[in-house]
Amino acid sequence: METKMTNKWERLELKAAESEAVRKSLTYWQDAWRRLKKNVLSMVGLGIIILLMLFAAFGNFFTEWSFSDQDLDMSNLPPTLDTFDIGDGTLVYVHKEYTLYLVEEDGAKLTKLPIEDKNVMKKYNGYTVDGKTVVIDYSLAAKAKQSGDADAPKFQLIIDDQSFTVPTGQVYNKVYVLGTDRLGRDMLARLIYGARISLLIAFIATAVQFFIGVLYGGISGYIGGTVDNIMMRIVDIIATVPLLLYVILLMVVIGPGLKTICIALGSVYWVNMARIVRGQILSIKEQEYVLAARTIGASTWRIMVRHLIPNALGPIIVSLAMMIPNAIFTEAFLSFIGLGVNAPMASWGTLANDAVPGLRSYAYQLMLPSILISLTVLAFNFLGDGLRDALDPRLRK
Amino acid sequence: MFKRSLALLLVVMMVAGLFIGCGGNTEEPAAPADNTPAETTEPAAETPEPTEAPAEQVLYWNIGAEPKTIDPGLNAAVDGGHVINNMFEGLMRELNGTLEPAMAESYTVSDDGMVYTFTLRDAKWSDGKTVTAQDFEWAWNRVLAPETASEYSWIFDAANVDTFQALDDKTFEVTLKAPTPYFLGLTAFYTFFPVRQESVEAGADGAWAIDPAKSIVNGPFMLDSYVGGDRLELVPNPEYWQADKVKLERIVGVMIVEASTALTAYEGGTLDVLATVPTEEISRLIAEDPTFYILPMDGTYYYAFNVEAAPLDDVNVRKALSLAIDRQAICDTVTKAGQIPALNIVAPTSYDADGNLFSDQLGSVGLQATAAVEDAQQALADAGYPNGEGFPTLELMYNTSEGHKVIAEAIQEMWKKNLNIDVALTNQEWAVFQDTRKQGSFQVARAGWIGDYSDPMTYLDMFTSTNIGATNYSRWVNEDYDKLLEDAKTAPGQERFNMLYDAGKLVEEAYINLPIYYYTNTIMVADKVHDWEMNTRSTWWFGFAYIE
Repeated sequence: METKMTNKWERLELKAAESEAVRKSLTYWQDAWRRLKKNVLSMVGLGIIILLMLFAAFGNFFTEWSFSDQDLDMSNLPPTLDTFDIGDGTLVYVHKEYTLYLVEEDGAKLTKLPIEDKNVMKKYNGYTVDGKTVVIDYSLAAKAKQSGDADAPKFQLIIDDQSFTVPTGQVYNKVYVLGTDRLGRDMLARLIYGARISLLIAFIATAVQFFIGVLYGGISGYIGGTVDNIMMRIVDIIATVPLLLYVILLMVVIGPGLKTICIALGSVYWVNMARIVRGQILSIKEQEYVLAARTIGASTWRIMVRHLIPNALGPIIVSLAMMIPNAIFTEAFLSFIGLGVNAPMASWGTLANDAVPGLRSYAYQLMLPSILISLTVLAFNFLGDGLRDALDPRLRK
Repeated sequence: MFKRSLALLLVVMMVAGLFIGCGGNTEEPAAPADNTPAETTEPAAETPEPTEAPAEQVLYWNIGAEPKTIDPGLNAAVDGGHVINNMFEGLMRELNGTLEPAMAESYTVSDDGMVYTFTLRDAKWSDGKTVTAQDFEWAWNRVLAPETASEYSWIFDAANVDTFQALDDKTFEVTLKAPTPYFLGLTAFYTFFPVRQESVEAGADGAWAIDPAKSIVNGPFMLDSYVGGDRLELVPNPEYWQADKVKLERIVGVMIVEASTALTAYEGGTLDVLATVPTEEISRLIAEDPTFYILPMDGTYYYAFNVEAAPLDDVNVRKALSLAIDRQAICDTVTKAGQIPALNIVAPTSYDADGNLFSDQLGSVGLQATAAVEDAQQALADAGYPNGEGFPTLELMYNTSEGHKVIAEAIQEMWKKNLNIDVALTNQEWAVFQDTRKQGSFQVARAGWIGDYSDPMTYLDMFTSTNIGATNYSRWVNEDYDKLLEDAKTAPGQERFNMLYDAGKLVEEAYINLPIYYYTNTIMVADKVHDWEMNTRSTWWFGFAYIE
C-alpha cells in the first residue's frame, strides 16, 4: 500500500474485494435454495431422503435374495450370531428355538443341522457334529424364567461332556445381512422392497392430492361466491369422514391391496391442500397483475394456471413435503392393523406388523422397519420445515 | 342471512355443549354416594390386580374376540361355546374325559338303541324355578324352528333325532331314526342345552343372553355384567345343583383379540387363563414356561377348493395343488405347536367299530407329509399346464389373522416353487369372509373344522350336496356320496363305518379340499388355578376350579 502511494498517478488494480458489492440478482427459487442450503437440518433431511431413494432403487444389488424367497429352515436368524466353538475352529450357532446351525466361512455359510436325539420331556436336542456329540439342554430356561434374572442362562451346550453357557464368539450373518423373518426370508431384501412400496404410496398419494387439491382449491378460491361456498362445504363433509372407516369400506368394495390404499389416501388427503390453496388464491386474486391479465382478456384457466397457482406454490410445496411423511405413516399404520398391501408384498408397515407377535424373541425384526419409518418421517419433516422457512418471502433477509 | 343463521346455530351448539359438560360434571361425584345395586360392578371394572390377595377367588380369563352370541341355540362358534359351557348345562356333561349325567339324573336306552329316556334331577334355574323336561322340549323346538335361524339346527339331523317330548315334568324322551352312538355325547353340546322361554322371549336374537337382568341360566355361573368388546363377568349361580362345589367367586372374561397383547398380560400376571398364543413364542414357551400346555384337539385345518371356479374345476389341478405342499415343514417351522400333518380331512380322534383309528384306516390318496413334487408336477401337466405354463393367477383367500396369513404365505411360495404357479393372497374380515365362502365367490379359501362329536360323520357330513352354502364350501356334488352318507345314518356297526370309509375315499379322490394339519390346542393356565377342565370338544369349564 505504501509503495503504491509514491506514484499517485499509477493506476490502481481493480480489486474485487474493494469494489462495491454487486450481487448477482437471484430469482425466487435460487434465493430459496440458497437459504435452504444454510439450514443444516433440512440438508440432513434431504440427504437422508436421497439415500433412502437410492436404497429403494439400487439396494437389491447388495443382496442375492428376492423379497419372496423362503427357506423355512432359516427362519428367525438374527444379523449377528453368537457362536460356540466346539473344537478345531468349528463354529455352531444355537437358535432361540434351541436348534443348532453350523456356521462356516466366518458366517458366509449357514446349515441347519438335523436333530438326532430329540427329547421334549427332558428338554434337550442331541446332534452329532464332526463326530462329536453336541447336546442343547434347554431345561435351564424354565429355571431362568422363575429366577426372574434376565441374564440367567437359558440353555447349556454340552459338547463331549463339557458344558458351555456363554458363547465363545460372535460372527456377522453374511448370508442374511440383516437376518431373516419367520418364513426365512431375507430382511434386507424385504426392507428394500418395503421402501419401494412405502415411497411409492407416499408419492402417489401426494401426486393425487397435488392435482386434485390444487385445482379444486384454485377453482373454489378464484370463482368464489356460491361456488366457493358449495365446494368448501363438500370439503368439510369429506374431512369429517374418518379415514379408517373409509379405508375399510373401500377394502370391502375393491378388495385390499396397493390400489385400494392409494385410492383411499388420495381421495381423502387432498382436502387440506384444497383449503390451503383456496386461502392463498383468495388473497392473490386481488393483486394488480391478475386484474391486468383479466383486462387483456386472459381466460380463467390461464389466469389460474399461469398466474395464481405459481404464486401460491410456496405453501403448496411445504404442504406437500409435510404430507409425504404423513402418507407414509398412514400407510404404515393401515398395514400395521392388517389393512395393507397383499402378501408377499411388503411395506414397512406390514413388516412391522408381521414382527409384532415375535417381539419378545426377535426384536430386530420390528426394530429395522420401525427405524426406517421414523427416519423417513423425520427426514421429510426436517425438509418440510426448512422449505417453509426458505419459501416464505417474509423471512427473507 | 346465511352467516347470521350459521352464527346462531354455533351459539346454540356451544351453549348446548356447555350444559352437556356441566351435566357430566355434576353427575359423576354423585354416583358413588347413592351406591345403587346396578353400580356395584363398577369398582371391579378397574385394573385387575389378582396378585394382591393370593386366595382371592377371581379368575381372569381371556375369551379372545367378542363372541357373536352367547345364546346356546344360536351359537356356532368356539368362543361363544366357552362362555355358554360355563353358564348352561345339558342333559349330560363331560368331566375328566367321561360323560356323566348332569341335568339328567339317569337315563335309559331302549334295546334297539333308538329311544332315550332321561329322568331329570331336581335342578333349578338361577331364578329359583325348577328345570323341567318342558324346558328342554321348548329349547330344542326353538333351535329347529326356521324363524330362529339357528346356524346349528342341522346338528339334530346329524344326531338322527326323530322326535322328542316331555312325558312329564321330570321325564324327557328322545326317539332316534337309527341307533346313534354319539347322540349321548351331543347332549353335552351347547345346541342341546335348555333355555328358559320367558328369558329368551325377553330379548330377540340372543340379546337376552348378554343382558344380566334377562339372562336365566342353569349352569355353575351366571352373567353379572357384559360390556361388548371389552369384558364379561360371571358370578356363581346360587341355585346351581352343585353350588356348594363352585369355589370361584367371580370370573372376569376379557376380550383381548391380539394374541401377543394377551400373552403380555398373562406374563404380567393380569390374566390367569389364555387360549391363544403367538406362534413365534411357542418354542420359547415350550422351553421355559411350565404353565404352557399343548392339548390334542379334534379338528382339521384345511383349504377348500371351489370346484365351480376354473381352473379348479379340473380334478388334476386340485390334485397337483394338494400334492405340492410340504405339510411337515408347515407344522415344524410355521405353526410349531406340535400339529400333525393332515393327509385326509378326518382328524385322528375317532375309532371305527373294530377299534381302528378311522383317520389312519382311511389313509390318503398320494398325499405325503412332505411335498410329492414330481407327482404334483405330473398332475399339473395332465391338466394341460406343463410346468405351470398358461396357468392363471390363483386367488387364495383367508380371514384376516396373523396365523392364517403366515401359513398362506408359506403355501404361496411352495406352489410357486414346486409348480411355478402364481398365487395372489387376499384377506377379508371374519364376518365378510364367512359370507364370501358360503356364496362360493372364491377360488381357494381357508377353512377349519372342529368336530362337534366324536365320529367321522362330523367331518364327512360337511360335504353333502345339501350342505352347499353351509359347510360344503367347495360346492361339490356327488350323488353316490350323498347316498352313502344317508345310508350310513341307519346302518349298524362296522357296516356303517365301511360306508363312511367309501365316502371318505370319494372325497379324497375328488381332491375338493386340501387338508393341512390337525389342530392342537395351545393354552396357558397359571399355576395357582386348579381343577380347570377342558373337555374333548376343547371347551373350558371352570365349575370346580379354584385359586390357591
